[in-house]
Amino acid sequence: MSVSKGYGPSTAAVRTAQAALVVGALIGWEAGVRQGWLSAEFVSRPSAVGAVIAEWVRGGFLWPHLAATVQAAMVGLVLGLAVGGTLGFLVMFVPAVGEVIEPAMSTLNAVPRIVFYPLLMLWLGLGMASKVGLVVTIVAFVGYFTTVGAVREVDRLLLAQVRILGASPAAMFRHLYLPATLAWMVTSLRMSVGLALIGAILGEYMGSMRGIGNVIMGAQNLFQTPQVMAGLTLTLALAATADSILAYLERRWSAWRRVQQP
Amino acid sequence: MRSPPATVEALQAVGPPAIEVTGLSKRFETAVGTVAAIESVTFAVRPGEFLCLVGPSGCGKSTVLNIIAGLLPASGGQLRICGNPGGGILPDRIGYVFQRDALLPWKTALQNVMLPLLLRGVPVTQSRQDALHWVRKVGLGGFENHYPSQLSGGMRKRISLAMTMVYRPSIILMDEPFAALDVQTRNLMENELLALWAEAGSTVLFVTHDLEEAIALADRIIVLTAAPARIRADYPVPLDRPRDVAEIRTSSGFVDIYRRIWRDLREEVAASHGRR
Amino acid sequence: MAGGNPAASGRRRRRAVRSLVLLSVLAAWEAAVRAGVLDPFYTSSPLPILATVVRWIASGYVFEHVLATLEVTLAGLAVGVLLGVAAGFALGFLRWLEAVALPFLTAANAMPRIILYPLMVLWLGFGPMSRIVLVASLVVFPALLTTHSAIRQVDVEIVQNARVLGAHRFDLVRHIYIPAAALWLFRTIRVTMGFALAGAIVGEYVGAVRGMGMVIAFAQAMFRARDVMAGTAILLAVIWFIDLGLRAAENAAARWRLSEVM
Repeated sequence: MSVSKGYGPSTAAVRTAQAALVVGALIGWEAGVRQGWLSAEFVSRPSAVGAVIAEWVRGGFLWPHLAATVQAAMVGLVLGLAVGGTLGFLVMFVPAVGEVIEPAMSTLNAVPRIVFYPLLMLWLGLGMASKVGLVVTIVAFVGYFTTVGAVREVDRLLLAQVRILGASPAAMFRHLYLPATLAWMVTSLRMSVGLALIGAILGEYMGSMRGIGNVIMGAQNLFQTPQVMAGLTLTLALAATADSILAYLERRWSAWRRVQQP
Repeated sequence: MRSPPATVEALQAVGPPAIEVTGLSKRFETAVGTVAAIESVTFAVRPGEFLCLVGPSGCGKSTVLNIIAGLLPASGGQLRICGNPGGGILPDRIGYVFQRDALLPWKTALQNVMLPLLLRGVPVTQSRQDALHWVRKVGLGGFENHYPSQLSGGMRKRISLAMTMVYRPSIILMDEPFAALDVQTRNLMENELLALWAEAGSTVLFVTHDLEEAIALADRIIVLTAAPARIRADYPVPLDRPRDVAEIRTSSGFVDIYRRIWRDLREEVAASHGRR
Repeated sequence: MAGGNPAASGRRRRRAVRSLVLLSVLAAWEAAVRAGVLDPFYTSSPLPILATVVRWIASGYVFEHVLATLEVTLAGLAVGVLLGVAAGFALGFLRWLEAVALPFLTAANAMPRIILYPLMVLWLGFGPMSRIVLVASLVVFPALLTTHSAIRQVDVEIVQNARVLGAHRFDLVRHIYIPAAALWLFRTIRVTMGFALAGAIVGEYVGAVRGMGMVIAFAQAMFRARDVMAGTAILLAVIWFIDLGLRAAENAAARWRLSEVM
């Protein structure tokens, strides 16, 4: 018995098997429901789910909700990164602040941010504000730790060089720390965007506001399985699309990172 | 033969030494107690002179350089830059070329060379012009919009040189700048450095453990002892300029000087090995 | 040096400063509410909150619900980890399975599974089962991929050496692969626990009969700020203790590994 690298199944065989699995699963699902082996109430059918999605798109039902979710996610993302980044810089450059805030952040990091959502709903109401607040809470931690990491990891050599060249603290921030931090933020952007979307959806699950999460929740309350599945499918598609776009952008923007020669 | 030697002679008669250290010492606190990196270093560098510090690896040469640059405070002794007390960062007077290249990876070659000018308040258009001039001068015209990761080691080193020379500091400190390069590139860079130095007339303090490199480049060589560093010997290098670093190694004068200095250096290298 | 270790006294001083800051904030909060500056409807104030916490602890209310949350968390964690490890081993040793399934599993891992909760409610109702399944789904994929990585990254030479020494299939699993997998899993335990807690709490916020999340969500729906604060504080304390315990275990394990090497 060995798990060493060896010769596995051919790529063609693998791809065929995978395609077969996906297609087979969908067909099996559809057929199973039509034949009565699977309960339509519980799992619905791919065709029913597809019909719901098509109806939503054609009828214009989808767009306001999609917009509400994406909007909340984006606003929360920008605010969250700004808040987290600012806090990170304060902690790194103002020792007094760092002493108090840094251990607090490390401790709070172990807490799932969702724990704070009822508090946010208490203070900001049940609408868009608390939803954005949840996203901000989630993303701020990412922004904070990214910033702290970037500042900590600044190459001592670069620091010495820039000092020798006569940079003031402001110039060092502008030419050294800020670009370094932004570079790290871009790298963590894929994760941040994903978290922002999830935060918006979860917020919509728990509050009463517009958005895809709200649509899913409403359908669940009415035991409308196709609608729940449709909503979830769209959400996952949205997340996957955003991720692909960001992956592409990341490759393009990291030109200066690519090491080509020794 | 061109003027550099005459200029050096002329400069020697004028003004205070560019760098003057007296009784310089440096101690570090480590987990195992206090370690003395430099014990009592005294020497002076004349304006426009090319001085090499050689010594066994780890003897403290870089520490001396860092103290002169203002990156480290001395534990004792005196430092004077152009007659005035040193000890802090003096961006107007001192430039530093590091061993590993310290280019900002998110800026292009041109932007890196522009940086010192921008920091001095030179307007952007003027900075770009001057920087471009220097990028071309070090032979990298056409590469100015490349990022450091897209350049070879030798090319990055040239940009580092351009970055240092673009604001014409009167003193240039260099910490084994070519150690990481392959031999051919190193020779090329050494020749280029000499050409740039001849034109600029700056004072150069060059640290290296490579005695051949030191003799090929310098007007004068100071040998440091094994850690903790002290001055072991001070040798003038009266070889003609302009020099080609590859060819000069085979001249008789070179070999003589090498033999004399190597006797001192060899003992220090052995001592530093024996200590480990 | 007279006195003690300067580093330790520095730490003690910093901790004292942080406690002082915390107490000042609480005192200022209480004062602000009493002075009428802060509206207690939104935030309540420290003393009533503390009183509520004490009351809940004394009556056993806290005990019942904290236990409910922890039961769901740990049950889901156990199921997810066991399934994940088993599947990870399967994937590690069966090349064809790995080739076919790995892309799907990686994609599943990238999926924000926490948003699937409404579907689970649809299938399993609002009882603990739906939440246990949710937690398990959050944990199983990371556990699977971690285990798989651990197995694939075992040095071939170690395995070959062991076989030369006479190890059979079962011995290899027992002495090499299980420890390797356990090590990797242990390294990610704090993150995994975070996922599990998040799943349990989200479930309770959205709809549950018991659990600390339910307590908090219910209080929020009733606009009882004091109870929301008290519940959140208790939940934070529980999570903090769990994290403390995991950190201590990590440190102990690190020390133990070091002593083995020396």
